[in-house]
Amino acid sequence: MARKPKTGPASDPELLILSSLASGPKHGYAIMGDVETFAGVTLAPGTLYTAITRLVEKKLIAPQSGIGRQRPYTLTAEGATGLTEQLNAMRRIATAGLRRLRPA
Amino acid sequence: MTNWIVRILLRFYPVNWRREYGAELADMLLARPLTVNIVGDVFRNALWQRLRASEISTLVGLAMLLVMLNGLVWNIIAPSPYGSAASMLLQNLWGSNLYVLLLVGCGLWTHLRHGGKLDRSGLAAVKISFLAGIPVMAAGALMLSGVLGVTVLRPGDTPTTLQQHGFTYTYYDATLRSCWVRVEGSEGTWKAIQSISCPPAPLGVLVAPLFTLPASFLWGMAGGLLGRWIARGRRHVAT
Repeated sequence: MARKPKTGPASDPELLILSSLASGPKHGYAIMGDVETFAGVTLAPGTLYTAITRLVEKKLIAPQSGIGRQRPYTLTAEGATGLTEQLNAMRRIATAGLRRLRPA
Repeated sequence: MTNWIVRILLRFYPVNWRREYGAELADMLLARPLTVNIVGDVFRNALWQRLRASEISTLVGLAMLLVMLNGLVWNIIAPSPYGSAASMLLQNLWGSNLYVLLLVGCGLWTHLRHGGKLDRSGLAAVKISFLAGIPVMAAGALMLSGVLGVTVLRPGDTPTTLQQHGFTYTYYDATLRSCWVRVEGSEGTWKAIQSISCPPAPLGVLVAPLFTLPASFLWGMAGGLLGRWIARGRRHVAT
């Protein structure tokens, strides 16, 4: 199992939610499970919904009409662009950092 | 039991937020065991949502309440010397230019954010004043009930601590000072006289903050008026 990152961008709830929704619409509970699987991070319910609120306000994700009380959330075009930019930036940093760490 | 805790936890969230996400969060909380960590996380985030949803006047008012409460507690535990900023702020909030600017600024912000009538800006400033006045009113109520005593401090007096003076509010009296006067009829003789110590009336302390509310309203409206001019200027530039 992946080591649980405590701090840093890899544990940022907003980034994790956006990454989870990149594979398709999910409701809160499914996002939580998915994030736990691919990132090894357990998002507590309060933190998860605070991040969802922020993302909806920023129009990076949008709620869809769902069955029952659980609504699925979907990544907006703006959200997809933002996520791509963020992940590319992280990849650049990770590549540079790992290259520098490699013994000469 | 869990149902009951979840319902209470959700109550901490703002109404609008609850309407939007409450059902989803409740379902999620009920679907898994409710640990102390989860309760803490939900509570912390509920407060955060409340803070985000609050008006600027509520936040500034709460900050002022904390400043005043801090001043009151320190006044009782270890009063600052006569004339210090902390002592003067507690006793005469209106003596602070910063406080007046705060009221004007809040009125300005309220108008720029919400627009509408100027009385909304005035009411925002009233809210700040009321919240800031709560510690003073509490002190008045404690004085009135005889729980809190009053010590009058004159210029030059050294304040005493809680151990020395007990549960007492230290009142700073600017009019209470010693002065030298020439005694009538005896040429060249000077005598020290001192005004009589007159502690504040508990009922006066209790209601004093309420009397500041109309002035706060006016300062808030002044800020709102400023906001209206700025908004007009912006529209003018835009066209």
